[in-house]
Amino acid sequence: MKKMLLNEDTIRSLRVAKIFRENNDKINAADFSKNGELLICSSQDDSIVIYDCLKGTTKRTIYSKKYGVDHIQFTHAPNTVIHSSSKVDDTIRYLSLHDNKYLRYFNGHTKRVVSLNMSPTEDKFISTSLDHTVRLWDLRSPNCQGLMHANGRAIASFDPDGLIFAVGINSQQVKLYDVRSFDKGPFSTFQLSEEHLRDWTGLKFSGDGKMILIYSNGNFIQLLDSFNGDELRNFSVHIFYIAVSLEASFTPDSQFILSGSADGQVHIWNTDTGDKVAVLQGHHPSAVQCIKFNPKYMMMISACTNTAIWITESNEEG
Amino acid sequence: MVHMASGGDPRALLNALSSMLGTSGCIKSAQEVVRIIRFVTAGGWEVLNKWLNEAKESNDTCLLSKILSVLKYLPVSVNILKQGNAGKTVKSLIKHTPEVKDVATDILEQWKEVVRKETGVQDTVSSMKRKKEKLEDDNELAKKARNVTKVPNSNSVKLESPNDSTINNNQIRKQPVKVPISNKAKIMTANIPPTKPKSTAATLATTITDSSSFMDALSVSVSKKRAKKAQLSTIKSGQLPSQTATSPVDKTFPSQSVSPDHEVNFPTISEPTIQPIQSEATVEKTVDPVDQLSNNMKPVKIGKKKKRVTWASEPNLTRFRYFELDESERVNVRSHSFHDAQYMEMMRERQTLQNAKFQVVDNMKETIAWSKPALIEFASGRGGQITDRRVHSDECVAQEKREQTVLAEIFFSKDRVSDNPAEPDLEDLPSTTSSKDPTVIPLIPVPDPDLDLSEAGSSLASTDAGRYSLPPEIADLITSAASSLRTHGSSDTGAAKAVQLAAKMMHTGGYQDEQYAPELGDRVTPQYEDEELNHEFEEDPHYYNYPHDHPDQPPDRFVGHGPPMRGKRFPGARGGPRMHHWRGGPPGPEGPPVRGMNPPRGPRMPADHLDRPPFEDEYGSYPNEEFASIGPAPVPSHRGRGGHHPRGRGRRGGRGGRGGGDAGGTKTAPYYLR
Repeated sequence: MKKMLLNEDTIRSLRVAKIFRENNDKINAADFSKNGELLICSSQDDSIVIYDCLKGTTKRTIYSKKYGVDHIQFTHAPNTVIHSSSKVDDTIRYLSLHDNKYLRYFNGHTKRVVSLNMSPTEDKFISTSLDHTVRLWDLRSPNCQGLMHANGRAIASFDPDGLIFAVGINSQQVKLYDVRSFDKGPFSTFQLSEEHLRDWTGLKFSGDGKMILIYSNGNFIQLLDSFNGDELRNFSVHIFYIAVSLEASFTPDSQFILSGSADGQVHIWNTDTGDKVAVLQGHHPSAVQCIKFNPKYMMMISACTNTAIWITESNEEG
Repeated sequence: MVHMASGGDPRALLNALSSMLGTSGCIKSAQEVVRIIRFVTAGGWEVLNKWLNEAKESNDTCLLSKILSVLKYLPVSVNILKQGNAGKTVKSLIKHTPEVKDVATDILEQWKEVVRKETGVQDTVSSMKRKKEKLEDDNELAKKARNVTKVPNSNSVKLESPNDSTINNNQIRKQPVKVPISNKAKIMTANIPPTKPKSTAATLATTITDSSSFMDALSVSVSKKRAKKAQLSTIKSGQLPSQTATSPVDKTFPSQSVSPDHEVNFPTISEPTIQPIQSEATVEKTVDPVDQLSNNMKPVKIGKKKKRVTWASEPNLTRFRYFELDESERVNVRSHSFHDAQYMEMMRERQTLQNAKFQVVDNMKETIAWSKPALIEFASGRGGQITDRRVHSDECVAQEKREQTVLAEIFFSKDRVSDNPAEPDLEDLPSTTSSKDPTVIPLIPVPDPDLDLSEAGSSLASTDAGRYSLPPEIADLITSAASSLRTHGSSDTGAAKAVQLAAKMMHTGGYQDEQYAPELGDRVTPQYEDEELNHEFEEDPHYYNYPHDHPDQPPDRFVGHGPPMRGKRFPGARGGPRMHHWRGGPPGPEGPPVRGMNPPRGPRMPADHLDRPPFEDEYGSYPNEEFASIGPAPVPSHRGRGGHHPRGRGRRGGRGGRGGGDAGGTKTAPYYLR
C-alpha cells in the first residue's frame, strides 16, 4: 500500500472527500479502531454509526435509544466498544457490536460522565463524572477498581503506554498516577496558572507520551510537557466563546494539533513551533465538536451533526 | 248621509246614526249596513279617529266608551284601519284606561282578525296552521289576563319546521304565483295605493318579527315602500324580499305567505265571493260580520300586536338535521384521543425545531473524490511505533471466543435495527468481589511513615526467588529477618539503613521483580505532604548512596531502575512487569489486577529487551547528560541535578530505562529545554 509522509504539506492538502449526514443531532464522540479501518461515532440522537474508513462508507448503525450514547470508544477487541449513557442513569456500558448486545454494565457514577478513556494496553479504563469522582475500572469486572473524590470537576486519560493516567482536577491541576500503584497517590502534580477561567473538557496524551493536550470550553487549548508540567504552548482557537466543548487532537505522530472551531473550520498547529499550519475550510454548518486523525491512515474526520472524512488529494491514483 | 264636521258633537253623530241602529246598538237592516259603510268611507272614520284621540287626551272615559262602542260595530277593512292610528290608540286605551279595557280589547281582537284574514290566510298551509293556531288559542286565553294579544302569523312562522317549509315552498312554487302578484300590484297602485300594500307588509312583518309596535310602525310609515320592494323582489325571485330575510327558514316561508295572500285577497275585494277566506277562517268569530258586508268593501278588523313569547309544540322542540357523512372527512378527529393529539403536536414541534436547526445553511460539499487513504509514513524520529504497543487484553480474547459461538446480529436495513442492544447476561459475581469497595485513589501522595519492611523483605524474597529460585522457606526467612530488622531499628535512620541494605540486595538481584522497586523507593524517601520537605529528602545524598549499576548486570537492565529508588513509583520501574506480560509466562490470573503479589510469573527471559520496541528512536533525540544521569549514571550526577522537578526526572529516568542502554551519553538537550 502506498505510504505518505505526514508533514505540513500533506496536512494542508487534506480535503473533504465524504460527508455523511447520518445523524440528526450533534455527534458527541468519535473513535478510530486501533488499525484505523473503522470509525465509530456516537450522537446525541442515540445512534452509533460505524464507518468503513477504507471504503469511505457507512458500515452499520446501532441505536441505544434507551440509554443514550456518549464518549464511545473501541476497546481492544475490534468488535466491542464502551460508552457512557446519557439517559436512565450514568452507567458505563460495554457493548458487543457483533451481536448488538451489552456485555457488562459499570455502575457507579451518579452524574453525567464527562470523560472516558480506555487504557491503550490493557482492559482498564478510567472515567470521570460531574459527581466529582474519578473511577478506574477493568472490563472484566463490573466493580470499580479505583475511586477518587476529586473535589471538583475532573477529566482523565491514560498515557499511550498505559502506564500512567493523568487526572485534571478543577481546571487547575494535573495529577499523574502510576496505573499500578495509584493507591499511593499521584507521583506528580502540576499546578497550572489560573489565569484562564474556563472548564477543562478533555485531556489527551500525545502519541509519544511527551505532551499533554488540554482543551476546554473556553477558547483555549493548552499543551503541557508531560514530564514537568511546563506549559509549552497555548493555542487560541475559537473566534468566540461558546459553551460547548470543542475537541482537540494530536496527529498520531504528535507533530500537529487539530481543533475544530465554532464556525466549522479546522485549525492545525505545529506542536514544535506553535505555528498555525493551516486553517481548513470544512464548511460545517455548526461547531466542529469532534475531530480525530486516523492512527494509521492519512485521514482526518471532523463532525458536527455531519461527519466529514478528509483525505489528501494527491493519493487519488492510489 | 251625515257629514260630520271635525270637532262636532259626538252626541250629534250618535244621534245621526241612531236611526240606523237598533235599541241594543245593532244594525237594523242591510240597508243600514250599506249606509254605515258609506259613512265610514266618506270621512266618518277620520272623525271618529279624531274624537278618539281627543277623548283619550282629555281622559274622558264616558266619551271613550261611546266612541269605542261605535268603533266596535263599524265595519273595517285593512285599508280603513290604515287611515289614522285608531289601532294604536285603542291599544293604548287597553293599557291606560281600565274602564274601557274590555271594549277596547274586543275591538282589537276583531280588527286583528280582519287583518289576519286579509293577509295571512293561506289555503295551502291551512291545515298545519290551524292546528297551531288552536294551540295558540289556548295560550291566548291564558295570556289575555296580561293583555297579550295574538299575532296570528308570527306563531305559525316560528313553529314552522324546516320540513314543512320546504314542502310548502314546493307546493307554492308550483302555483302560478307571479301573474297574480303583478296584477294585484297594478290594482293596488291604481285603486287604493296607500292601503293595499299594507297586507303584504304586515305579513312580512309578522313573519319576521313578533313585535307589534314594529309592525305598527311598518304599517303606518313605510308600509308602502316595503310592500313595493317586497313585490319587486318577489316577482323577480319568487322568494322573500331580501332585506327582511335573516335565515333560510324565514326566507322560504314569506314567499309562500305573500303570494297566496294576494291571490286570496284580491278576489275578496273585487268579487263578492269570499269562499277561500271563509273556509280558512271558520274558527274565527269575526268572520260573521265580514260575510254580512257589502261586495265592495270587506270589513276587516285590525289589531295591534304585542310582544309575546310562545313555545314550540312538543314535536317541534326537537329538530333533526341530516348530513351525509363523508367517511374521510372526520377521520383525524375521531381516531385520536387527546393524549395522542398532544403527542402528535409535540412531535410536530420537535420536527419543526429539528428543521430549524438544519436551516443553518449546510453547504458542506465533498471537494475531492474518494480514494483509499494512504498509510501514514511517519517522519523519522516521530512515533511510528506508537500504535504498535502491545496490548494485553483478556477481554479481547474472550470476545473472540464469544464471536465464534454467538451469532452475529443480522441487519438488512437501517430501520430494521433494534432500538436497543440486548441487555447483558446476569453475571454471577462472587459475593466477595461484588461487595468489595474500590480502592481509593488519593488526591495527594500517601505519606508512608510506617515503613513496612516485612513487605520489603518479602519483595526481596520474591526477587531473589525470581533469579535464584529460592525456595519459599528461605524467602520467608528473609522476610522475617527484615521484619525483625524493623523492630530493632525503630528510628528513621535505622530503618533507612535497613532499606538501603535491602535495596542493595535487590539491586544485586537485578530487580528480578521490579514491581516492588517503587515501593522500596517509597521507603527510601519518606513522604511528606509538604513537597518542599520531600524535595529535601530526595536531594539528600544520603539516600542515593547506593550503587546504581552493577558489573554483573548488563547496563540496559539498570537503565531506569536507579531513579525509582529515589523518586518513587516511577514508570521506569514498571518496565519489568510489562515485560513479563509480553514475554514471560502466561498473563496473571483473571480478575482485577491487584497491585503486587502477582504470583507466579514466567521465567525471566534475559533477551527480552532486545525484542522490545526500539525506544531509542522515540527518545533518540534526547540525549545527553541529563539522561545519562537518569539511566545508569553514577550516583554523583544525581546529586548534582537541579531539583526543581525531581519527580519529572524520575519519570524520565523510567522512560530512559525502557529506551535501553544507549540512552546515556551522546544526546543533546531534552525536548522541553530546547
